[in-house]
Amino acid sequence: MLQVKNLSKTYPNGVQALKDVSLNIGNGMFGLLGPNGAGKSTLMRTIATLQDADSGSITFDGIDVMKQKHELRKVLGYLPQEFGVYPKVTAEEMLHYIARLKGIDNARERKELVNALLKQVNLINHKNKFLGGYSGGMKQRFGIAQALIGNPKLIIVDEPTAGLDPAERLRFNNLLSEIGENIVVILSTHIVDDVSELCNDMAIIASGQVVQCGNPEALVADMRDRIWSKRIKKDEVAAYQQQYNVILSKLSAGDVVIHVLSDQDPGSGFAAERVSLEDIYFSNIA
Amino acid sequence: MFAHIFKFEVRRWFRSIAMYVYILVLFLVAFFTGLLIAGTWPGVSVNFGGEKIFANSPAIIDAMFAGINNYVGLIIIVAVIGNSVLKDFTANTSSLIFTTPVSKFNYLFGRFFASLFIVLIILAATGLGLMAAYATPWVSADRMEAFHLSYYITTYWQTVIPNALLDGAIFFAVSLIARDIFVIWLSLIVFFIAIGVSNSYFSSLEHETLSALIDPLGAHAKRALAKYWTTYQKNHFTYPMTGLFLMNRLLWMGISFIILGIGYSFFSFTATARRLFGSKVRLRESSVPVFKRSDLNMDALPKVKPVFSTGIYLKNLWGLSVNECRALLRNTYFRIILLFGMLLLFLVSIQLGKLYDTATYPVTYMVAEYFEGTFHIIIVVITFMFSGELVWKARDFRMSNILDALPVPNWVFYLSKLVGLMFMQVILLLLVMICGMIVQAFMGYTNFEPGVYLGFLFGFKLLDLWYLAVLAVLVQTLVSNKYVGYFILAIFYLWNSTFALLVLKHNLFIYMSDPGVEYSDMNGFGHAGYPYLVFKVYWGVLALCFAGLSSLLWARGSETGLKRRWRNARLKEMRGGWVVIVTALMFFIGCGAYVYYNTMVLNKDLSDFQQEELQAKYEQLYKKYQHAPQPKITSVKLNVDIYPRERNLYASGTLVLKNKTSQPIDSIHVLLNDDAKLREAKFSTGLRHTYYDSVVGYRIYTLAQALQPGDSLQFSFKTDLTSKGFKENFTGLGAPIYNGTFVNNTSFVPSIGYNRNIEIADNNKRKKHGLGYRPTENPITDTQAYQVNELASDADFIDFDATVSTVPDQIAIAPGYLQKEWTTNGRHYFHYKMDSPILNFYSFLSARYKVKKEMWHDVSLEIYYQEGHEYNLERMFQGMKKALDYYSVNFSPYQHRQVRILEFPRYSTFAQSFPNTIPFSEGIGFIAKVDDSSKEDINYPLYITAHEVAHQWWAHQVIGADVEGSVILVETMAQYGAIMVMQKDYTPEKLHKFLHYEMDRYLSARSNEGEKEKPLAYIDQAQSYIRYEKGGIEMYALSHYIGEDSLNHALQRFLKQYAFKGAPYPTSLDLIRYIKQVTPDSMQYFVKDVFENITLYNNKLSDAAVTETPGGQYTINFSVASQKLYADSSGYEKAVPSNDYIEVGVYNEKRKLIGLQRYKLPGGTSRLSIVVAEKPAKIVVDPNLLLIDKDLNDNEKRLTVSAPHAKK
Repeated sequence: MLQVKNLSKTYPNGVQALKDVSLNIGNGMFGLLGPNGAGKSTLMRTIATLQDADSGSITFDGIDVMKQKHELRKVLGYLPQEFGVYPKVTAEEMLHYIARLKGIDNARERKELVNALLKQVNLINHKNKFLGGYSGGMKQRFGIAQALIGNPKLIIVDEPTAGLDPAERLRFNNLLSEIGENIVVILSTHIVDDVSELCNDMAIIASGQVVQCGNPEALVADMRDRIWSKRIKKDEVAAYQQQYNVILSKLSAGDVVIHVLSDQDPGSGFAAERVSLEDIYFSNIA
Repeated sequence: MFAHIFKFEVRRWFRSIAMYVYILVLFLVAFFTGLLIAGTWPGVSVNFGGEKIFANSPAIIDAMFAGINNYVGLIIIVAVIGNSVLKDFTANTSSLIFTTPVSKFNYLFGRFFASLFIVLIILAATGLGLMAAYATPWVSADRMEAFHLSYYITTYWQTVIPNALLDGAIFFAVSLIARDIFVIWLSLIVFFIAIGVSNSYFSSLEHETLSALIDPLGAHAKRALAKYWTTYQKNHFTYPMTGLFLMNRLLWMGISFIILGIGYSFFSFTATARRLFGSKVRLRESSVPVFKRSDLNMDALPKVKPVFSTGIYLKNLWGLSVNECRALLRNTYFRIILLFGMLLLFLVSIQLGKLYDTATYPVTYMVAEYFEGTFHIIIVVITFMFSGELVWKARDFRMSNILDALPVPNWVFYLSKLVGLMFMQVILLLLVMICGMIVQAFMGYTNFEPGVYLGFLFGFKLLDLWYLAVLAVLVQTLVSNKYVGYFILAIFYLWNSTFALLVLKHNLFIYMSDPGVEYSDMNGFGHAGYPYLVFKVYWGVLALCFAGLSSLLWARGSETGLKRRWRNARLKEMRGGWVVIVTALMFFIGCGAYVYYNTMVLNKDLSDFQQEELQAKYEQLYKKYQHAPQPKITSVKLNVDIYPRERNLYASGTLVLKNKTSQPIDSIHVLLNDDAKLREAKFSTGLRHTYYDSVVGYRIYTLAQALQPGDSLQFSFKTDLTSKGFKENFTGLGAPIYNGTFVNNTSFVPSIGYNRNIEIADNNKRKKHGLGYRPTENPITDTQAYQVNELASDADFIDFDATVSTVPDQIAIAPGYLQKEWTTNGRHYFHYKMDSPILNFYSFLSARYKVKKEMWHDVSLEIYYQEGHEYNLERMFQGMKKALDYYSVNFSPYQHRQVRILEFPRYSTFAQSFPNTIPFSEGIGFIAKVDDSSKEDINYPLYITAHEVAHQWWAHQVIGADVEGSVILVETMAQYGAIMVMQKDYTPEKLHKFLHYEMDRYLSARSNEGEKEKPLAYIDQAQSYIRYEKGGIEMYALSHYIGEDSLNHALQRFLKQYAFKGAPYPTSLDLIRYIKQVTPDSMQYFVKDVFENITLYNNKLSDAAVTETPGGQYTINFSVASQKLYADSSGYEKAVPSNDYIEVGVYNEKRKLIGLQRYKLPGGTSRLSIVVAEKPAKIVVDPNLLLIDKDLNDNEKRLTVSAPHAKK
C-alpha cells in the first residue's frame, strides 16, 4: 500500500536524518520505533507531505507523494508530534473548521460527523471549552479526532504518547487500537510498549536507517533463548560491559539488572530471560 | 552584579547580527539623505530652509541626524530596548534567570542601560552616514562648508541621547508592564499619534511656548529658538542649550526617569509572559489508569463523502476569510487601535482647515482628505503589523502542523489571509468615514455627502492600501522571521514614499503611485478618475503577480527554506499559479506601455530639470533679441470656444500691434505656451519668412514690409489648447476642466518679443545649467526697463473684446461688460467688451455658476459661485463695498462699473485680480467659517476680497516698471488697502492678531531666504514674504506715524500722475518720493527705514510699577530698552544708534486701550512714566505692532496696582 523507496535526507546543518530508507507498509497499525533523533519524525513528515526528501520516492495507492502532495492530502489523516491551537477556539469549532477544509461541505453531514467524533473520543462534554485549556491527553484525543475526519486512507500518528501521564497514555492507546484494520496507520513512538500493545507490524529505526522490520511477535520469537539477565552492583557495570554484549542495563532496587545477548548461556550467574520487545529494540540500537 | 549583567548583555549584542543590520540601515538612510540634500543629483533639489543653508550646516545636520533617529531610529530603539527583558520570557530563559540571586534593580537596569548603550552606538550611525555622504566627491561643492565634527557631537548629546533615553524608558516600561511584544509595537503607534496630535494642537502662534516645552523630542523647542535665525546663523551656530530648549531637555530627562521608575515598580520576577487580556482555564480529567474500552468505532462514524473541487475551495476560502475577519474583530488589540484612531481623529479635527486660526466649514471632501491623510500612516503601520500576525499566525500558534497537511490549496490559505487584511483596511476607512460624519455633525454641518466619502475613501484610497497589503503579505511570506519582514516593509515604505520619486522620477516606477486626485465641490473628482484607474490597473496587475508568487511560495510544512519552496512551486499541480503570474505580467507590461504613451508621448511631462534645460537653451539662443525693437499690442479681439467635457479650448483672434519705437520693425518675435498649438498666424503686412524653433518654441516672422514707427498691423492667429490622454501628475487648472475652467491669456494667446521672465531666475539653478549670474530682477537704475511694465512686456494698455462660448449649462466669463448672450448650435455664447483700456492680462472662466448681485452706487457687484457655497457671500459683498468705499474716496475713483468675484476649483488656492474680474479659489474663503462673536476668528473672506479689489487700483490703474521693487506698487499697496479696510471692520485685538501673524510669517520666511533679503524698495517679485507681510505692516505703520490722511494724499497724487499712462512706468522710488513729500522732517528717518533698510527693533519693557495717585489716577513708572538693528542681505544684523518714535500703550482689565503715548527714545534703556485715569492692567511697548520686533513677548508687562498712598 505505502511504499517508501530508498529515501534519503540530509538537513542543511549536515545531519543525515534518513539513509536509504525503504519500507513496505500494508493495512493495519504499523509501528515505527526508534530513539529520539532517529529520523522517525522526518520520515513521518515526509510521508505527510510536510517536507521533501533529497532522493527516493514514496508512493501510496498510486499517488507519488512528493509530486502529488495535494492528492495525498485528500486521503491523509495526520496527528503531528506536537501542535498548538488558536486561543479562544473551542474543540467543536476547530473540528468544524478542519472538516470543512477536508472537503466535507454538507453542513448537516459535518455536524453529525463532528458530534460523533467528539463523542467517540470522549470530548463531547468539553466540546464548548477552549482548546487552549485542554490537558495533554485531551489534546491528543482531539488530535486523533481531527485526523479521522474525512475517511482518511492513510493515518500518521507521530509520537502521540510522549509527555502523557500513564492514565492518559492508556486511554489514548485504547483509542488508537480501535482504528480500523482496513487503512494504513503509521504510529511512531520511542516507547516500546506502545508498539507491543498496538502494532502487528513494525520497523525499528536508528540513526536514519531501518535496522529491523517485521511482525513484533516473530521478532521476539527469533530472539528466544538468546537473552540472559543478571543482577549486579552498580560499580560492576563497566566490567560486565567489557566482557559481555550488554544490550540493556536498568536500575532495580538500588542494583543494576543487565541483559546480555548471547547464543549460549554465559554462565556466571546469568539466568535466561523471557524476551521482550524492549530487548529487540535495545539490541538494535545499542 | 550590575556590571556583570551590563557586560554580558553588551557582549551578546556585539555578537548579534541584528546590531550590525541596524547600524547599516541607519547609515544607509542617512547616507542617502545626505547625498540628496547635498545636491548629488542635479535634477533633485531638496531644500530645508533655503538654498543658502549648507547641507552640512548645524541646522541641517541637526534636523537630519535627530530626525532620522526620531523615526527610523525609534523603531530600532523599540526593537532593542523593548525586547531587552521580554526576550527572557519569549525564549523561556526567564525561569532560569529569575531563580538566580540577582536583584531586580541590577537585572533590570543592567539590561536597560546595556541596551541603551547599544542603541546609542547604533544611533550614531546616522551621523556617520551623513558625514560619509558629505565626504563623497559626488556632493555639490556650493552646498558645502567646512567639516565640523562639533556639529554632530552637539546634536548627539543635545537631542539623540536624551531622546533615546526617553524613548527607551517609555518602551522599556511598557515592556515591563505589558510583557507582550504586540503591546510594545502598539504603544509605538500611540507614541507617534501622541506626538502628531500635540504637534497639530499647539502649532498656533499663541501656544508656541507650550508646544516647545511639551514636545518630547525637543524639535519644537529648537524651532522656537531658531525661528527667526538668519541664514548666517543657521549656517554657523549650533542650538544653544538655553531657555526653552534647556527646560525642555531637563523636563523630559526627568520624565524619562519617572517612567523608568514606574516600569520598575510594576515588574516582579514572576516567570510568565503575561497577556494583558484573558486568562486560561485548565481542564483536568481524573487520572486513574483503568482500562476501559474506547468508544471509538470507525464503522459507526457517519459516512461522509469529501468533495474536492474549485467550488469547494472557493467556499472554503470564503469560510476561512470570514474566520480571519471575525478573529480580527474579536482581537483586543485591534479594538484598542480603533479606539485610539477615533480619539486621534477627534483630536485633530480641531485643526481642520484652519487659516489664520479661523476654521472652515467641515465640507466633506476636506474632512475626508484631512482625516484620511492623518490616519493613513496608521493604517499602513497596522497593515504591516497585521500582515505579520496573519501570515505567521498558524506557525506562531503551531497550528501549521495540522493545517499544512490538509487538502487545501495554497491559494486558499493565502487569499484568506489577504482578505482578512483587506477587510481590516476597509474597517479602518469606515472608521474614518464615521468619525468624519460625527465630527461634521458635531460642528453643526449636516451635508454629509456619503458619496464623496465613499468615492474618496473606497474609490481612490482603498486600492492603494490593498496593494500595500498584497506586498506586505508577499514579504511576510518570503521572509524567515516576521520581524525581518516588518523591517523590510518599513524600509520599503520609507523608500517608496520619499526617496523613490526623487530618484526614479516617474510614477511608473513607484509602487502604488498614481497621478493624484483632488476633490473639488465644483469639479467633483473631475478628470482625475480615468488616469487614476489606469494607474491602479497597472499596479493592480503587478499586485496580482505578487499574489500569484505569494501563493506559489506559501510557506507550508516544516521546511520553509526558499529553495525548497521554489522547488515545490514548480510541481505540476502549481501550474495555475504560473498562468496567473504570466498573464498578469503581460497586462502589467501592456498597461505600462499605455501609461508611458500617455505620459511621455502624448503629454511630454518634463522633469523640472529638463524644463530648465529648455529655458537655458531659450536664453542662450535668443537672449540677443531681448532689446530688439518690437511692436506692442494695443488691441485684442478674441473668439474663445471652451469645451469643458473634452477639456479643449479653441481660440482665434486678432491682435493689433503698433510700433511705438522710433525704428522700423522688420520681424516679429512670437512666443506661445508649450501646451498650446499655433494653427494659424497671419500678418496684415504679409510675410517674407518664418522661423520656428520647435524645440524651444521660438518663432520669428519676417514681415514682407517693415512696420514703420507709429504704424500698426494686425496679427491674426488660431490656437488650440487641447487635452490628450493624461499626464503623469494631476493638473487641475491650466486647461479647460469639466466644471470650473479658469485659464488666462498666457496659456493660449501668443505674446510678442523675447520675454525675460522665461529665463531661469534661480541663480543656483542657472549655475547648474551653465548660465551666468543674473540679478533676479532688472536693477532699478535700468531706465530702458521703464518702457515695459512688470506684468506684460508686450503691451501697455489695450482695448479688449472677447466672445466666449461654452456648453449650454455653463456661464463663460471674460473681463469686460456683457454685450450679448445667445445660444446657437448647442453652444452658449457671451460677448464681452471693455470700455476702458486695460492691461494685457485677462482670464476666461466657465462653470455652472449661481449668481448673486448687489449694487454699490452705480457699480454692480456680482458673485459667481458654486451652489452650496453661500456661506460667505455676504462677507464678500461687505468686503467689496467697504473696499470701494475706502479706495474710491482715498485713492481715486473706481474705473469700472462692475466688480465680479468668480469661484474656481481648489486646485490652486489663491485669488487674483483681473480687470473688473476676480477669480477666487473655492479653497480660501468660500467655505470659511468665521465666528464673528469670537475674539479669535479673523474674517479673512473680507480681507482677501478687500485685497483683490485694491488691485483694481494697484495693478490695474497704476503698474510699475519691470524692475526690482515695482511689485510693492501692486502687492504692498493692495495689502495696505486691505489693512485699512480691515481696520474699519475689525476690533483692534483682531487687527493686532492679524499683524502678529504677518510679522511672524515675515520673520520666519526671511530666515529661509534663498537669495538675499532686500529692502522693501528693491525687492524681487518672488519675495512674497516682504511684499505682503512686511509691506503691509510697514505701510500700516506709516499710516500711523505720518497720518492716514497724509499718506493717502500722497497715494492720490501718485495715482493721478501715473494711472493709465503707459510707458515709461513708475518705480518704487517714485512712490517713495511722493510719500516723502507728505512726511514731516521728524519722520523722514522712518520712511527711509521702511523702504531703504532692513530694519528690525529689539524693544523690551524691562520693568514697570504702578502707583495710585491721590487724585484717583494711576502713575506707571517703567523702563523701555530699545535697540534698532539693520540687517544686511545675508541676514547679518548690526545694532545702529537710534532716536526713534516708539509708542507705549496701557490697557485695562478688559483689554481696552486706556492710554497711548508716543515717545522719542534713544537706543538703550529709558525710564519713563505715564499717567492714566483708569486702573491699568497691562503696559505694552509698541501695542500697534508698528515696528518689526523678533521678540514680542518681552514687550509687555502685567501691572498690579500697589497699595495707594495712605491719606493723612
